[in-house]
Amino acid sequence: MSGEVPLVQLDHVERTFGDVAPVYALRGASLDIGVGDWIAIVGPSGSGKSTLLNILGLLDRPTFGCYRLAGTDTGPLTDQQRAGLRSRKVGFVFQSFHLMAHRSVAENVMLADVYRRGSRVDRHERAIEALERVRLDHRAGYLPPRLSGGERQRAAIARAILSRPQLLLCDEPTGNLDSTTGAAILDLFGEMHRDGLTIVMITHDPDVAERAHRQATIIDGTLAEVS
Amino acid sequence: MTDPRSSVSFADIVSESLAGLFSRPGRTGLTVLGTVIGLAALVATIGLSQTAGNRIVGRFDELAATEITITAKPPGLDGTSNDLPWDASDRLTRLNGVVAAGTISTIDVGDVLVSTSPVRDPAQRTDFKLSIQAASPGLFDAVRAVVRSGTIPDRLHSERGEQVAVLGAAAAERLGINRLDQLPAIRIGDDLFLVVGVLEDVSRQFDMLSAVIIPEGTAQRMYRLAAPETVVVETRIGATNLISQQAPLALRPDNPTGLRVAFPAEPQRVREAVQSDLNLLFIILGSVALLVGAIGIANVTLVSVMERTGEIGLRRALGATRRHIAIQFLAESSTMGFIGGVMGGSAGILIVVAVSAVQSWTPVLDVAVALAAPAIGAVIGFTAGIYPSMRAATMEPVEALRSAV
Repeated sequence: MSGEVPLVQLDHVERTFGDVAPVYALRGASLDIGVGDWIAIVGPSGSGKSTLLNILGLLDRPTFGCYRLAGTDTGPLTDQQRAGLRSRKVGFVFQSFHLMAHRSVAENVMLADVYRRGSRVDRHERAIEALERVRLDHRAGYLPPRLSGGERQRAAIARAILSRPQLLLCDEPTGNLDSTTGAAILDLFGEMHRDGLTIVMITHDPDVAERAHRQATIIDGTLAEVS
Repeated sequence: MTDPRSSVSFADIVSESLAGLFSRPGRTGLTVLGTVIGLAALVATIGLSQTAGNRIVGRFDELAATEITITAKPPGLDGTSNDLPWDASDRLTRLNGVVAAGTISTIDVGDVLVSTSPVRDPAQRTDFKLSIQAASPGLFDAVRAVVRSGTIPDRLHSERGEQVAVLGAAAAERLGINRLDQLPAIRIGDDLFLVVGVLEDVSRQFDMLSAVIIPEGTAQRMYRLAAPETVVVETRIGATNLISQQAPLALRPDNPTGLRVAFPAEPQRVREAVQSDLNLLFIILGSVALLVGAIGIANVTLVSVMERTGEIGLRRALGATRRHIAIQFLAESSTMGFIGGVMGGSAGILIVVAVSAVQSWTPVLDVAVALAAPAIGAVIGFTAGIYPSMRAATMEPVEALRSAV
């Protein structure tokens, strides 16, 4: 772990579903992630990986416990404040890409700027820069259905890094890709990590997890750091 | 310390909603069609009713618009007489705005018949039951009588009570009188009258055409006519309202309320009444069409929300709040309504112009109606989008993202 103040601080976070007979998705999870860390969270289906990622991305709230992002206690924040924090601090990369099929690659990337009220003047230029960074600028005008799986994921990564987030959350980022393409995407994450981006990646694939510098496992909602 | 709240610019709302709409142009077009039809019907309806109203005014009978008839009400319980004065014509012609005035009364002669011969011919009928009317000299001008032959009784005939008569065209035909050069005479019962004129036509009081008309003074002397029955007044255009107020006072200053004044509605009122009737009918039809259009927008927007669940989840992940999502879908539905309003308003104007061109009418349409169409469309779209937008806004981002996988 690098950096003095952790970017992410989970302190005995619990998440339950249902009131009468609550089901635990997370049990007392505690984790610190420093600025510039790349951590993989490994676990089988239904272990609580996605719940953890949703809490880290401010898409969900813990039932108990405290979550601090960049030093801010997210518990008391309103939905609007959480949305603002999310748009500025967090980038998402999903397994199924979530690209809008009827918009060009550049337009998909630019969408990340809409809710943080980024300048419209240089928005396109910044989108092209982000695409250059993932080596997809030559496909800027293409519609997503014309791209390969790897290109789609690169477009999704470009969208995630447009707003220069501090934290990149990746949900099975290579799950829909073949091994070669998946390896290329992981190489890309490696480059970003070297540039100082903090990456949290959830996966069920141990080989993918090997690429991260830190690994944690989650089984039945219990989080434990392995290395 | 907390970060600033998430926000989105107006320009981005507009561009995002337009992008959302035009990503499915076929569906958007079909959805907008309902509003287009509704507003086209509404604008065309109002335009055509205004055009028709204008035509009605153009064709409005100028004669009817300048006619007033005054009659006496039945006597009151206290026996107060409401009779018209004998000099009613003179009193009214002094009023500014009166072109001509005259009195007319129906004479009750019982079963007395009218004939041209004292001899009864059993082979051919020679006596007829005809209406006998008494008229003042001014009446013939007031009803715009056209004389076929001869002349009409003047003031002297009336004052002397001379036994002269004018026949209406139909009465003259029944009595077989075609020429006046041989000084034909008729008998009303046993009383002989010299026929001095035959009327070709009248513009008012059409029953004169089938009647025998004698001077008022003659009727007063021979048939004990107590008072004139009706005063017919021709006014200048636009003066009927004023004259109808002044006439009772001029005729019976002592008892103006004892008279009944009848005059036609002003052209403007007729137009308004006709437009009101037409508008009500077609606005109901247009509203039904608009309701169908609104339901269409609501339905398609709701389907769109369901289909775009993943997009909603993505936008939330990128920082959109519930409010932003609601605004986006409301903007889309409002834009659909607005576009429908612009197209429907334009189509409505084209319909009015086309129908008017075919009918050789002058198209009339209030500009405000045409300009209001897009606003009405936007309001309908906004209203129709409220429920789907709320559905979209209340989606949990985690669920939305998961369901789209």
